[in-house]
Amino acid sequence: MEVVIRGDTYSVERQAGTGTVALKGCLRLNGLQEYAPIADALRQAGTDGRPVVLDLRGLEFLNSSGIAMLSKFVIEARNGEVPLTIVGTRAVAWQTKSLINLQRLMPALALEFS
Amino acid sequence: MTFRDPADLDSLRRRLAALEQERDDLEAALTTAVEHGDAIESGLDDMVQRLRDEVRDRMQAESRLEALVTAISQQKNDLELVVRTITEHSDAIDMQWLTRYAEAEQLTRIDGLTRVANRRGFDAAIDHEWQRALRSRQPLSLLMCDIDHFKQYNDSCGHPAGDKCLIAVARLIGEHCRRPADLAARYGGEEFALLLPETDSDGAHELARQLEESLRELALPHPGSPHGRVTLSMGLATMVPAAPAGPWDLVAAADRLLYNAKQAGRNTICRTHEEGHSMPSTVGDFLEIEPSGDTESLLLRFSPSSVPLKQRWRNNGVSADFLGDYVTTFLPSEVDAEASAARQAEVRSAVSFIANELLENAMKYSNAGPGAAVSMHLHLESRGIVFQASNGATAEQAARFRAFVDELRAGDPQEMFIGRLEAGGENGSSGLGLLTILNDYDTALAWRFENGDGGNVVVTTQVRLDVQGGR
Repeated sequence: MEVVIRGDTYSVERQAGTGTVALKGCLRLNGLQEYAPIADALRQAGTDGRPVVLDLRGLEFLNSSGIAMLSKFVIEARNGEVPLTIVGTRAVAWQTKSLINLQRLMPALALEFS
Repeated sequence: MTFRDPADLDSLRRRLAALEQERDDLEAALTTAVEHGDAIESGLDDMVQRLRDEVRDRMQAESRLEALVTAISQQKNDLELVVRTITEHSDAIDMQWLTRYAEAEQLTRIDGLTRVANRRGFDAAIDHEWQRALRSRQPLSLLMCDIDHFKQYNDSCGHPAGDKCLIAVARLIGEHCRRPADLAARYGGEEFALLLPETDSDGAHELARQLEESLRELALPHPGSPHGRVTLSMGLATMVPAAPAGPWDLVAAADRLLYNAKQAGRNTICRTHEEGHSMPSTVGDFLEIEPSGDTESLLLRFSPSSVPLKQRWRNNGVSADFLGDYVTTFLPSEVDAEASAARQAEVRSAVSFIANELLENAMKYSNAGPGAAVSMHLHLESRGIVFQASNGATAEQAARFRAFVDELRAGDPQEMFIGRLEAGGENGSSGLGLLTILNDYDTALAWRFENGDGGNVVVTTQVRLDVQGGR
C-alpha cells in the first residue's frame, strides 16, 4: 500500500494498480472542503470503471464531515455504477451502524465486516 | 288532368309558387347548412389537431416532469439517508467517546495494583452513599482494615511479595462485597475500606468476621507476624447519617476504631456499639444511662492542653470537641424526662464515647511516663460522683498500667474497661451506689459503670475529665 495522503492523525493509502484504498487513523478534518483531497483520491480509485474497495478497518474515528464525504462518494459510485466494496470492522463502534447506512444509499454496495 | 275552375288553377299556381319558394329556401338553407357544416368541420379538424398537438406536448412535458420528479425524489431520498447517516454516525461517535470517557473515568477510580476502588473512588462513593442514607435514614457501615505488620512483611518477603499480598487481601475484601452498592477500596498503603450501605452494625460485624475467617483460611504466610500468617486489624463504624455530621465523621470513627484494634494487639475487630458513636462495643454492654431533667449536660475538660485528643464527636446536633482546654457542653438541655429511647441511647453513647476517649488518652499519658495524672468526674444530677484515678508516676507503674490494659484486652471483651471499683461518690451522694471510684492510683486507670441498685439506671448529667501534669 502506498501512502497517498498523510495527515497528523490519519493516512490515505492506495494499492497500486487496483481500486483498493484504505483510510487509517482518526479523521477529524474541518468541513467538506478539507475532505476534498481524500474524496478525489477515492474518485480516482474508481476511474475506468474499476471496482473500488474501500478499507476502513484502520479508521478509528471519523467525524460528521467525514461521513458526509463518504456518503457523497457512495452516491457518486451508485450513480456512476461503479462497483464498490467497503470493508469495516465491528471492533470500532461507529462502523457497524454508519456503514450499514451507506449501504442504504447504494443497495449494490458490498459491505464486509471483519 | 283538367281544371274545372280557374280559381283552382290560381290556387295551384300559388301553391306551386309557394312550394318553389320553399324549395328555394330549403336549398338556400341546405347550402347554408352545408357550408356552415364545412366550416365547423374545418374548425373541428383544426381544434382536434391542436388538441392532439397539445396532448403530445403535455405527454412530453409529463414525461419530462416524471423524470424530474424521479430525480428529485432520488436526491431527496439520498439527502434523507445522508442526514440519517450523519446523525446516527454522530450519535455513534458520541457514544464511542462517552464510553471511552466513562472507561477513563472508571480507571481513575481504580487502584492500579489491587484493582479495587482507589481513594478517589472511595471518596466519591462514600459521599454518594452518605447522601443516599441521609435521605433513606438507613444505616451506613464502614469497615477499615489494615494489614498487620505489613512493613515487616515487605522487609522480610520483599516488595513484589508485598504487592501480591496487597492484591490477595484486596481480592478477598472485594469478594465480600455481596451487593452492588458495597464497595471495596484501597484507602492507602496497606489500608483498605469496605463501604456497606444499608447495613447495620451487626450485619457489618458479621461480614467483618467472615472476612477474618476467610483470611484465616487463606493463610497467607507472614514470617513477621506472631500468628505466622497475614492478619487484619479492623475498625467498624456504623452511622445513620444525620446533620450536621458528614461522611468524614464516619471515616474518622472507623479510623479511630482501627487504631483501637491496632492498640488492642491487632488481628481484631473494633466497632461502634451504637450506630453513630465511636467506641468498642463492650463498654456499652454494661453501661446504662438515662437522661433526666432539663439540666443535663456532659462536660469535658482537659487541663492542661499538652496532649489534646483532637477528636470531634457529633451526632444529631450534639457535639463535643476534645481539644486541650476546650470545654464543651453537649447533650443540650432540651432533653426532657420523657426522652425517647433513641435519646437515651445517645446519652449512653456519649458517655461511652468519653470513657473510650479517656482510656485512650490515659494510655498515652501512661506511655508518656511519669508525672501524669488523669481524673474523670461524673456528676449525677445534684450529686456528683468523681472518678479519680491515675497512672503511676514511675516507669514501673506505667508498665503495670500497660500490662493491665493488655490483660483486659486479652480477656473477655466484656471486661475490657473494668477496673477495681471501690470508693463511693463525691459530695456524699453515692446513695445509689451506681458508680464507684478506682482509687488504686498505682495500678491503673480504668472504670466501670455499675448498676448497683438492682436495676436502677444511672443518670449522668456531667462528665468532666481533668488532666494534670504528664510528660
